[in-house]
Amino acid sequence: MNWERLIASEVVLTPGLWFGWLKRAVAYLDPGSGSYILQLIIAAIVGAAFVVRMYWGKIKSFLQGLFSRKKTEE
Amino acid sequence: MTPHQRLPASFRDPSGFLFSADGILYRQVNTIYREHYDCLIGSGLYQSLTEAGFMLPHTEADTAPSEPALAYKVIQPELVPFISYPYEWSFSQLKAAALATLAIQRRALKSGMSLKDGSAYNIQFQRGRPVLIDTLSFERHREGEPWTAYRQFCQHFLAPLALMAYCDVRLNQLLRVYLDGLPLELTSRLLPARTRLSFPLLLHLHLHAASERRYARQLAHKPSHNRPVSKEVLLWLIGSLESAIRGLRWAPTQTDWANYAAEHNYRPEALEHKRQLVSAFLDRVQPRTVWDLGANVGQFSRLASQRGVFTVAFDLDPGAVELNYRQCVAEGEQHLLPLWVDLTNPSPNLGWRNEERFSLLRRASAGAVLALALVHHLAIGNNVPLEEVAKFFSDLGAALIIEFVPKTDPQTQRLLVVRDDIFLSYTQEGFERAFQEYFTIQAVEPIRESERILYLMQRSA
Repeated sequence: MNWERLIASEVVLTPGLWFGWLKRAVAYLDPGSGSYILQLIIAAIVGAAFVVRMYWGKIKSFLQGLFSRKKTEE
Repeated sequence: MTPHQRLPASFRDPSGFLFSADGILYRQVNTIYREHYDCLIGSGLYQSLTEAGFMLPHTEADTAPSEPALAYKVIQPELVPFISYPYEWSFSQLKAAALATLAIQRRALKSGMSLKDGSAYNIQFQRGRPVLIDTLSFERHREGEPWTAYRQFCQHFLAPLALMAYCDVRLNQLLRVYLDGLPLELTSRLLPARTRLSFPLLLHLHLHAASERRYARQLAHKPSHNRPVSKEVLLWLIGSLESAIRGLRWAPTQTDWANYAAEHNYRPEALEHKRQLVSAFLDRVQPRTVWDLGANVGQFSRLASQRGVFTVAFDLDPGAVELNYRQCVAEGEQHLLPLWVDLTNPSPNLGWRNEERFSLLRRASAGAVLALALVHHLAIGNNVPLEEVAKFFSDLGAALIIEFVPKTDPQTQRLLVVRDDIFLSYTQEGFERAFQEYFTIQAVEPIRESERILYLMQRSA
């Protein structure tokens, strides 16, 4: 098994979790299960990145606060 | 009134189909597609896409539908002058078609719709630009749904472009075999390992292929109301595919023909005289369409296209076709379509019942055919008897402007240098005799400062 397959199957995905989201396509074109699932993975990762970006200001100030508190304690 | 004829390629999508009646092409929109069609028009997406030149305009027609029980509307699309297929496009043509598809999908998403298929066959070149011809390609986007056409887009566009850029430009000929695009698993195996270092190619081709392999036989178990793919993610996906496509580059380096005109061909006076003669013949024939066979980079095709005559420039060298297309883009040419076709093996009928994609000869014919500096390649380079060449040309068009290149010409000599001269009938007399079986010779003009002769012929009734 090559590493891509490993990522696609075992590490990133817990198949049971994703299959709950798989919906029968109503379009005439078969989107392909693999393509469908890959988009779900992308959505999870990119979605998480969006969330991080959205709260980046808060995260940054939290970390900065942590850092400066440390400094004052010193 | 002639009976309606449904087009054989138009059967997969239940939303509607193409038919012809009284020689006019129509598209029936079925009731099942009503909601989506109304949304396409009502949302302003149709207007925005047609105004931006991304989509073929249509008018709603009063014509009776071909299958009234199913019909919602009948529309009459604007005609495309020549239907071409992705296995006939050069690298930049396929790339332009891919980027147009993504631009359309981006606009569709912003209007609450989505492309339900991402087929390269839905794109045609109209006035020099790639346009979407299938009005029924859109569906209302349901919030959270992934892009149904993602796999098809990767198979039809990204996979062949990546193989052309990283392996060999001729690999787009695989599209002739795989009509629904190249299998991703095959593409992933053929691409060099370094393509895994490009994040978009890693994601959309290699991981995509791995995901397909892993989940090929898994079926959906239960419907869910969980809609996990937001519109922002879909727009990110489009952006990522765009950067994958834009990152792929190919430039012709050493091609057999790209420098042909510059290096070998003619003395300047001979070239100028040939241009004058071809122009005069074109003015005499006044064709509505011209096919330039063996067009190289389109030097003579432009004599026709610059007269406003729609011209298809065929060549077997992908480098020449690429350079020709780039010039079309650079100069905004609207009447010239360069295509990559090997005349000794032109595109065949393909697909379901051999009826989906038409052979070159079945698609159209030309008002006039240009065959300049070509006959020696077919007759001597490919051993095709002159009578066969004449018969083939008579199938392609009514008028023929053809250059006879005698055996004494340096270019013909080059073809004979390492082989026996078995072509005893390859003489001017033999040429005329062979072509007179199918054509009437209307003019014979020797080209100055050369041994070549230009003919104007008309197909015999």
